[in-house]
Amino acid sequence: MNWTCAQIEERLSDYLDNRLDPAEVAELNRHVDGCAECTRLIEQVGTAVRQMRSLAPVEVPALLIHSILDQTIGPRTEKKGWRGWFAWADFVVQPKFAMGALTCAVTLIILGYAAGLSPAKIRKGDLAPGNVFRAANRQAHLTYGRTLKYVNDLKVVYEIQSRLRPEESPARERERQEAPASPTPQEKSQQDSRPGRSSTLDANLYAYIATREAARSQQ
Amino acid sequence: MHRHARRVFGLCYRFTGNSHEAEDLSQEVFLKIYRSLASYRPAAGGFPTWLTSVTRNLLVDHYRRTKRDRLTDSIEDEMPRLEEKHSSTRTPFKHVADAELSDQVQHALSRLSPELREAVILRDLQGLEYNEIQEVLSVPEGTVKSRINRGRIELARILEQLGLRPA
Repeated sequence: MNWTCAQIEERLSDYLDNRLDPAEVAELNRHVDGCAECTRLIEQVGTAVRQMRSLAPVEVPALLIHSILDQTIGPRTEKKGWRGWFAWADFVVQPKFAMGALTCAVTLIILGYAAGLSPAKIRKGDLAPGNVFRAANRQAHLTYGRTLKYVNDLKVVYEIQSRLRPEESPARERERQEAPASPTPQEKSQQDSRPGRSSTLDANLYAYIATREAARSQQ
Repeated sequence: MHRHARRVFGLCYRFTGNSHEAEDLSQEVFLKIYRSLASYRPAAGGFPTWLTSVTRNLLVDHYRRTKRDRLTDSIEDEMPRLEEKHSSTRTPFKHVADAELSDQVQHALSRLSPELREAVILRDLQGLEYNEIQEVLSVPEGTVKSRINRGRIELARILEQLGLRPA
């Protein structure tokens, strides 16, 4: 079937909106190829459609939404009296603020458990401000004392280690030659069973004590 | 809210071609929507379609109300103003060119009959599908297709008369 110019004009929007079958598109193209008038019409209307679609959306006047809200849900009234004083705190009743507060509370509870606080052990008297201050003060001093003691212990250990190393090196060379090439995994795990201290340090300490004992007995 | 306001205001502005009228009509649309929210049935179509339908009905009412006023304005009074504007605002800057194109399309739309104008606005400026337009206008699909087609052809001829050449 050959399409006429009237048919082309009738189906023009279907063509521009891609609503034609491939067979119909082929028919349309066959007619348009030989008809300058229809070619011009398609170009003209196609351009108009493209131009309309390229237009930016109309900007809404700034006050339109305010006046719509005023007319529908009514004008927003200023808070008066004591409510006015707390108007700045409206954000507190927002869901996101509640979520934030809950997250903080959970974090604090987890940190409290990690620090050794347990809600089950807390008594009513512990919540008095004076007691809370004393407990915090005590905890701070205890932590400071523990830290100081740990640092001092480390100092002593390193001092002993640094003094022993040059004296013990020939003896350790000899021991290494006498000892098997590598300890079995079982021996190794036994040696490493004490956390926080290396087996080398223990061996040095025992050797130092043995040397001191031997020197004392000779005297 | 802003999205819906933009849709309603855009439709009113493109239909009436007047910003103040479009603003008043948009307020009227939202007031009507607010009062008849109870009658909204989600099953009958999406909210945007319902909103567009309410806007369109209000625009048709407005068109009928103001028909007498418009008949007193002669088209000759309008034409020199637009031609003058057309020649004086031709600059190489894109945003000025866009504004000029927007004015010309607006003028061409105002010369279409209301039936063709609303069909073309809904299809090419609001981007509605044929079935949505059918729902908004409450007319058969064949009528929607015919109005869009005739509206586009008529609009293209008016744009050409105004001197707008293919880009």
